[in-house]
Amino acid sequence: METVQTTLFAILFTAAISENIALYYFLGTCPLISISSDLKTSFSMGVTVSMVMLLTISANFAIYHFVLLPLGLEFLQLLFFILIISTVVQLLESFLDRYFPAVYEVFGIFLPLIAVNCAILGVSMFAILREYSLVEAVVYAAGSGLGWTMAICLIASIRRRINLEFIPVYLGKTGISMIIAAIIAMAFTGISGLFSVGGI
Amino acid sequence: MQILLVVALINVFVIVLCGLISLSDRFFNQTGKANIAINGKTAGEVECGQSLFSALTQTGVFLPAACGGKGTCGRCQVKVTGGDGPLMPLEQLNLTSEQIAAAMRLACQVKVRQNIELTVSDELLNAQNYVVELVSAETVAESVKTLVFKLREGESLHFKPGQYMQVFYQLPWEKAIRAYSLSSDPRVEQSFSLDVQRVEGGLMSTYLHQLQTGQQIEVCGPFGEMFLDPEATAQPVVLVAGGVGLAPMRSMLASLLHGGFTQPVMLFHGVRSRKNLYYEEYYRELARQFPRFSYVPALSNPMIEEGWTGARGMVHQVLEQQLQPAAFTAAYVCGPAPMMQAVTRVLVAKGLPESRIFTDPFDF
Repeated sequence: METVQTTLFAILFTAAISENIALYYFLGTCPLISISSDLKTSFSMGVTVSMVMLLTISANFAIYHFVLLPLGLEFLQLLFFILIISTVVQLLESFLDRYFPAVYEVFGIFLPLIAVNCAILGVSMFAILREYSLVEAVVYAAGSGLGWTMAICLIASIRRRINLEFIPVYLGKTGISMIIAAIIAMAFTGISGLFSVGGI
Repeated sequence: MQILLVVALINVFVIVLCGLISLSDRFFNQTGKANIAINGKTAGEVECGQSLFSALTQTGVFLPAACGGKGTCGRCQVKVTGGDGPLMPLEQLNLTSEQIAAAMRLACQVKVRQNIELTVSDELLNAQNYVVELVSAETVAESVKTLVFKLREGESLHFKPGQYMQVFYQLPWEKAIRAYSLSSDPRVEQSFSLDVQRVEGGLMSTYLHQLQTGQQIEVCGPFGEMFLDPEATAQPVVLVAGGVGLAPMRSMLASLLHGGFTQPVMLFHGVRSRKNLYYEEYYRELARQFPRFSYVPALSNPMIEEGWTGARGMVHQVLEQQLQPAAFTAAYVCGPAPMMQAVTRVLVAKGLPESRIFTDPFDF
C-alpha cells in the first residue's frame, strides 16, 4: 500500500526527472535557451524560477480553493494565476534589487520576463488539474523547480564545451541550444514512466 | 449576477495586488536622502536609489563616461571608502584585481543607498559643466564636420592637448552622453572645436551634424589621460591617428607648432580614401615650412580617380615601413581599438616601451 511518503517522493521524482517540466513538457523554454550561456547565471535563474514556483503555487492554490471554487468561478483561474505570478515577480524584483543587486544586474530584462515563464503557470495549472493537496502541490512545485534548474544547468554545462568547438555559424547560439535541449530531452524519455503519478 | 461578481472580484483582487506592490516599493526601494562626502568634505545631499554617477552630477562633480553610463568604458572610476554595495558583474570585467583591491568602483554601477564616502582625483574635480553656442560648422571630409563652440561670457576652458569633452543630448527618457576629443589650440580659452564624424544611425553624431549656428548644447570636461606630456615637447614624438582620431592630434600639433617644433614630430594619418582625409593641405604646408615636422597620410583603399601617389595600406603597415627604430621617445595613438592594438604592436617591435605609448580609444 502506498504511504504518504512514497506518494510525495513519486511526485517529486516525476516532476524533477521523469516528467521534467522543461524537457518533457517543454515549458519555460525561452529563458532555458537565452540564459543558459553561463553556468553561474543559469543556476541563479533556476533558483529564482524555483522560488517563484513555490511562492506562486501556494498563493494560486489558496485563491483557487478558497475563493474561486466556493464562488463557482473556476474559469477565472488563468487570469488570477497570471495576476498572482506577475505580482510575485514584481515583489521578488524589488527584493533582489535591494539585497542582491549583483544578481539583479545579471538577470536584467530576464527577471521581469519570469512573469511570463510558462513553466511557472504550467506548474500551478497542472497541480490544480491533477487535484493535488496543498502539500502535494508544494512538493510538485519544488520538484518542477529542481527539474527546471537541472535542465538549464545541464544545457549551460554543455554549452560551455560547445563554445570551444567549431559549429556552423548560421546555427548560432540559439540553434545549438535547441539541439542540445532536444538531445537531453530524448535521453530523459528513457526514464519516463519509472514512477507514474496521475497522468497528464 | 455572476458577471457583477466576476467584475467585483477582479477589481478587489487587482486593488489588493497593487497595494502589495506599493507596500513592497516603500519597504525595499530605499527612499530618502543620503550624504556624499568627497575627499573628506561633505559635497551634498542626494536622493537615494539613483546611480552614484548621476548623484555626483547633482553635486557638481562631473565624471567622464564615454559610454554614457552603461558600464562599458570603465572611465568613471572613483575610490569608494564607505557606503558602497557589492561589486557588479560589469565592474569585475572593467576593473583589474589591483583596482578592486584598492576599493575602486565604477560610479555608474554603484547605487546610492546610504551615506557614501569617496576619493576623487583633483583633476576630475576640475571638470565643469558648460552651455556652449555653435559658432561655425565646416564639413572637412566625407561625413566629418569641425564644429566650433563659444563659451558664455566670463567662462574659460583650460585643457591639455589630447583631452576630450563630453557632450549631452537630452532625450525624453534619458540624457545621452558621448565623448569627443578637443581639436582646437589649448591656448584659446573662450572657444573650442570638436571633429565629429557622422555615424550611420548614430544618435549624437546625427544630432551634432544637424546643429545650426547659434544653437546651444551642454558639455562637460575636460577629461582624458592621454595628453601631451610637457616633457615630451623636448623629445621626438610620433602621432598616429586613424580617421577622425586626428582630432586630439590637431590640438597637440597646435601646441607643438606654438613652440616652433623644437624636436622631430611625425604625424601618421590613416584613412580609407582621399575623401576621408582632412586638413591634408594644411599639414603638407606645415611640413614644407618646418623640416622637423613630417606628415604621412596613408590610404588603405584609395580610389583610382583620386590619383593617389602617397603611402598605401593600413596605418600600422605604413608605420612599420617608414618609422626608424628607436627614433622616437613617445607615441600618441588615437583611433578604433583594432587599429590602436596593431599600431601599439608595431611601436613596441620598433623598441618603444609600452609605458611611452599613450592611447585613447573612441569606440566602446
